[in-house]
Amino acid sequence: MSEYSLGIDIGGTFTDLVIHDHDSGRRWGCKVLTTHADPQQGVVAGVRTILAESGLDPRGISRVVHATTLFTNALIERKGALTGLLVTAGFRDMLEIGRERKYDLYDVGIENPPPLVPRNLRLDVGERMRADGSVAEPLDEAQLLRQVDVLRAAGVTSVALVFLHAYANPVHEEQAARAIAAHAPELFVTPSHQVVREIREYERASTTVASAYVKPIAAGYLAALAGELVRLDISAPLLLMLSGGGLTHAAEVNRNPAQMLESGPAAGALAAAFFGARDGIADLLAFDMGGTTAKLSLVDGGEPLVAYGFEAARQKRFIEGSGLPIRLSTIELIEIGAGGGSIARRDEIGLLKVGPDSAGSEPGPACYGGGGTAPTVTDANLLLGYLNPDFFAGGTLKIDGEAAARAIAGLAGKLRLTAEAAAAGIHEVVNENMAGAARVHIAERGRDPRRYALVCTGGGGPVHGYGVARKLGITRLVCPPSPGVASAWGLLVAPARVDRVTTIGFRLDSDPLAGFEAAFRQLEDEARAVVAATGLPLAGLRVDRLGDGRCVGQGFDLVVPLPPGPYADDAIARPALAAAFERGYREKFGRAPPAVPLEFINARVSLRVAAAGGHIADLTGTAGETPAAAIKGRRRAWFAEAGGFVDATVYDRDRLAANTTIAGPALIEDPGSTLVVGPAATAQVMPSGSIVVELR
Amino acid sequence: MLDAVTIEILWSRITSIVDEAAKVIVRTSFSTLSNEANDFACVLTDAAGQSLAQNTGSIPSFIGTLPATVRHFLGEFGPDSPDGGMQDGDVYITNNPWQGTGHLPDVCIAKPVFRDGRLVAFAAACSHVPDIGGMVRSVEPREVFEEGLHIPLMRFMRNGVADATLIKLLRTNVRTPDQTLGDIWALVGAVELMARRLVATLEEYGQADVSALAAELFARSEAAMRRAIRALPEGTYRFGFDTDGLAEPFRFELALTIRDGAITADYTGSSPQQPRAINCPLTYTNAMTAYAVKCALLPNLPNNEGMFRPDGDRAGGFGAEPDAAGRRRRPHGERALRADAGFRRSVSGRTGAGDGGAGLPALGLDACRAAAGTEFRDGAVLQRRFRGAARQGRRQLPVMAVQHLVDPGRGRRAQQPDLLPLQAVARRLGWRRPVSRRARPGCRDRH
Repeated sequence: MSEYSLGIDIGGTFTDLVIHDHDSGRRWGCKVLTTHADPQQGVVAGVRTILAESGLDPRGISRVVHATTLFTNALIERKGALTGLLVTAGFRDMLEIGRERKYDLYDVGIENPPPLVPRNLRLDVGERMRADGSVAEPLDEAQLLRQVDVLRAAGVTSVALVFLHAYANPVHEEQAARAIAAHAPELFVTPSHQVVREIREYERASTTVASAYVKPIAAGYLAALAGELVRLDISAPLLLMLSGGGLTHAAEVNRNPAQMLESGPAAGALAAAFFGARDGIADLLAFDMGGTTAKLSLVDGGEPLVAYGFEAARQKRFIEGSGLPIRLSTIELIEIGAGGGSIARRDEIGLLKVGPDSAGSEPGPACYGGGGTAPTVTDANLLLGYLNPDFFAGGTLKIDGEAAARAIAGLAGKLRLTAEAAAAGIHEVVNENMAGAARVHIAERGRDPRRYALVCTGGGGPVHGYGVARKLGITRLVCPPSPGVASAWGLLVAPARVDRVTTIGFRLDSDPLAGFEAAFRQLEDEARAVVAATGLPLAGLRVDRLGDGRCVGQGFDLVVPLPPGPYADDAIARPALAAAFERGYREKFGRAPPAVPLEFINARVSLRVAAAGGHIADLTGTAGETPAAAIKGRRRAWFAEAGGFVDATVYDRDRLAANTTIAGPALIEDPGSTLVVGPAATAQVMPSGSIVVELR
Repeated sequence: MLDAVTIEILWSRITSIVDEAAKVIVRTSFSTLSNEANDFACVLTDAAGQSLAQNTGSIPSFIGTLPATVRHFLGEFGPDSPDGGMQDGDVYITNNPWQGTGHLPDVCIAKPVFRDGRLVAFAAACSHVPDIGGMVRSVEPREVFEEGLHIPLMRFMRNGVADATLIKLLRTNVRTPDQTLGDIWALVGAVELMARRLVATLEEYGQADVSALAAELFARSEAAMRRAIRALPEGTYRFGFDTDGLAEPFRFELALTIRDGAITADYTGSSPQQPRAINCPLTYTNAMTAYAVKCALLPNLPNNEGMFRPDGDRAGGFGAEPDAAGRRRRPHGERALRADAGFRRSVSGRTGAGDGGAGLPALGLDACRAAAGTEFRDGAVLQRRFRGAARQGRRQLPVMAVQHLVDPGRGRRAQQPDLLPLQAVARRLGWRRPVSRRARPGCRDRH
C-alpha cells in the first residue's frame, strides 16, 4: 500500500493542506477558510476535501504534520487561560519592569505590552536560591499553598513558577510543582526550568508565562484534533511543527506549547530550503511577500538559520522591543511592513514613504474596487505593467485600473512627480525597505548577500524579487511552482528536532571540563528521549553541540557551534572550544575577539532526524510545447535600467516546458502571482518545476 | 536636485547603515551601559560635521552631541593642522566632556570618510565605557581631574594603525583595561563599517558625496520643524522648580518662547555651577532640549541636523563661558547649566513606560536630565527623588514646562492668564491630563 504524508497549516485567514504520495511523488493541495472559533472544524473540512479530490484512502496516511497560529493569536488577542504567576518574594513586578529600553524613544504616549498576568495574580513565595545553586532560604511550602488558594479563588487555571536562579538549581521549583499538583491537581503548572533553563529572570519569566498562558488551550485543542483525525480514519501519529523548524510529538508540545508559536513561518523557511535544494542551491534568502508583510529568512548550507529568542505579540508589529520576549529556538525571520496592500504617502518632509500601514483586503488596494482610495504597492505594480488586469488571481478578481491611476495621480501631484515616476518610486521604495532590512539582517550575521539566491514566494515575492535582488547584488532568483502555497511543503520535509539549553557558566581557562561535558550529556539524553518518542526512526540522528560564548565581562553572548563531544582531554578540548568561539566571532564581527578569557554561559544541544524520503514529482508543463505556445501576449512594463516602459513578453507559466529559456523583459503569469523578469535577466524553467532567473 | 524618491532611498539606506553599526556595538561591547541600556550612538555626518542620520535606538541625550564632537575634530585636525590634516585611515578620539558627550566615561570616536581622495563625510560613534579611572560612579569629585582620565582631541589611528603610546596610557589609567579598550575597538569597528557602507552606497547611486542629499534633507527637515512650531500658540511660558541638590537645594528656571517659527529655551535664573559632579555641559543641555522638542513636534522624523538648526542670528549664542570650548582648566566638576538667551530649544520630560502606562512625562533619568539640564552622575539624587515619590504612592513626577502643557494647572494657577496658551498647546498636541497637582514633591512652583 502507498504511504502518504499529510501537512496541515492553519494560518490567520486560510488553512492550507497538502498530501504527498511517497511512492509516486504525486501531491495534492487545497485551501479552506480557517475556522477561528473551533479550528479543528476547518481542518476536518479541508481533510475531507483533499481526500475527496485525491481519492486517497485515509488509512494510507502514515504521518500528519501540523502547524498553527492558534497559540500566537491567543497571545496577541490575550485570549489564553487565566494565569497566575508565583515568584521569589520581591520579584512579582519583574514582568512589568521588563528591560530598560523603550521601543520608541519619541512617543510620549508609548504603552508597553500589558503583561499576560495582571498584578493581582502575581504573588510572592518565600524561597531564595543563590546564583551558585545553593539554597539561601528554603521554600515556604505552607505559604506557597496559601498563595495557590488565592489564585484558585480568583479562577486561575494555569500557574507559572519562576524562582530566581532556578536554572542553577531547580529543586525549589520542582518541590513547588509537586506540592501544587498534590494540593490542586486541576491546575496546569509550568515551572520555568522546564521551559527555558537559562539565566536572566525577565526573559525566563516572560517565556514561562507565555507557555503557561496557552497551555490549557493547547491541551484541549491537540486532544480534540487527534480525536477528529481518528474519526476521519487517520490513525497516523500527529506530529507538530516547532518554531525551530523541527517536528515533535503532542506530549512535548503539551509540556511547552510556546515552542509552536512560530510554526507556520518555520515551515515556510524549510520549504524555501527544500525548493532551493532541488536545483542545487544551498545558500538562499527566503523571501515571502504577501498583502501586508514580507518575511525574510536566511538559509545557509541548506539549513534555515536558527535564533535563540524572538518576540511574540508585539504592541507595535514592526517595532523591535515592543513584544513579549520568548527565549526559545526559532527559525530566524524578519518581518517587514511591506506587502501588496502597503499604502504609499507623502511624509512630513515631502518624501515618499510606503507602509507599514496596509489597505489589507478591506478595502484593499484602489484597483480592487472595494472602495479603497489610498495608493498601494499593488496599484503601482498595475500601472507599471507588472500585473495583468485581466488575470488577477487567475482572473477571478475584477480590476479597476482607473481607480489605481487616480490614487497614484493624487500622490504624484503632492510629490511633484509624474504618475509614472510616482508608481516607479513606490515600487522602488518598497523594494528598498525590504532590501534594507535584509541587508542589515545578513550583515548582522557577517554574511555577504551576493552569495545567496533569492527564493520568491507569496503573491508579491515573484513581482518584487527582481528589484530586491538587484538592490542586494543578488544574481539569482528561484521561483518555486505555485509560489502562493509553497510554504506548506515545509511541513512534509521537516526533520524531527529537539533543542535543549541549560545555563552552565563555564569559564574556559579555569573551570573543570568534566562539568561542561556532563551538562551536554544530560541535555543529549533528555533530547534523545523526546526524539525517540516521536516514533520516527533514529537512524541518521544528528547531534549538534552549541555554546553561548563571550569574553568574560561582555554582556552579549554569541551562539557558536562547538566541536562534537565528548570533551575529555584538556589539551585537545580547550583549544578546540576557544577556536570554535573565535571562528564564530570572526564570522560575525570580522575581527578576532579581544584577548580576554572566554566563558560559555549556556550549553545547547540540537538533535535532528531527517524526514522520511520520497521525491516530489516534477511539476512541469506539457512536454514538447515550444516557448511560443506559452506566450499570452505582450505588455508594456517599467524597468529603471531600461529608462522607462519597454515591451515585455507575457507567458503562461502552466504551459512552459522544462528547460525553456526566456530572455527578459518578460512577465511569467500563474494564477497566484507574476514573475517579473527584467531586461537584464534570463529565466530558465527547471526540471524541478521551479523557474531560475539569472541576473546580469 | 534630488527628487522625493531618491532622497527617501538614499536616506533610508544611510539610516540602515547607522543602525547596522549600532548592532555591532551592542554585540561587541563590554559595558552593560552599551549593550543593555543603549548608552551609545552612531552617526553619519556630512563633511562639515552636520548629522545626516543617527541610529534609531540611541538615547536622546546624544542628539546633536556627536556631530558637535566631529566639528571639534575638524577644528583640531582639519586642513590647517600642522601634521597634514585629515587622511584616509585616520580615526580620532576624545572624551572631553565639553566637546564630547558630557562626561569622561563617554568615549567618542570619529573617522573621516574619503571618496576619490576627497573628504565626503564622517562616521562617528560614542559609548559609555566600563571604566575611565577616577572615583567610581561618584558625585563627590570637585574637579574634573578627580573624575577620571581625560583624553583630549587626539588622533587614535593613522593609516589604520593605532597610536601605541595612547593605548598604553589608556590601559594604565583605567581599572578595566581589556574591557575599556574592547569597547573602544567596538566603536572603531562601528565607524569603519559605516565608512565602508557609505562609500559603497554613494558608488551605487552615482553620488560624488552627500552634499546634495544633505542640502535637501536639512532644508526639508527645518521647514517641517518650523511648520510644526508655527502651529503652536506664540508666547513665553515660564516654569521653575527647586530640587534637593547635594549640599543645598538648587533651582531650575526655564522661559520657553514660541515665536516666529522658533522656540527659545532660556535657562537664565537657574542655579550656578554646583561644586560637585552633577553639572551638565552645554552640549547635553542642547541634546535634552532638542529631545523634548522632537517628542512634542516631530516624533516620527529621524534625527538630523535640519531639525535643530538654531536661528542664524542666535547661533551659538548660549552666553557661553570662556571654558566652553574646554581649553581652560576648570576648578569644578563640570560646567554648570547657564544657558542664556538664544537657545532656541525647548524642554520636556521623558515618558514613563511602566506602571499603568498612562503615557505621561515621568521622572526617568532622562527626564531629570532634561528637566534639570543636569546629569545626575550616579543617580543618587534621582533615586532619592524616586523613592520619595514611591513612598507617597505616586506614579510619576511631572517636570517643568511640559507638565504645564499637559496639566495646565488648577486652582490658583488656572486663574493665571499666561497659562491659558499652554492649555491650547497641550490640546493641540493631543496630550492627556496626567497626574493630580498633588503629585509634585520637590517642585515648588513659583508662578
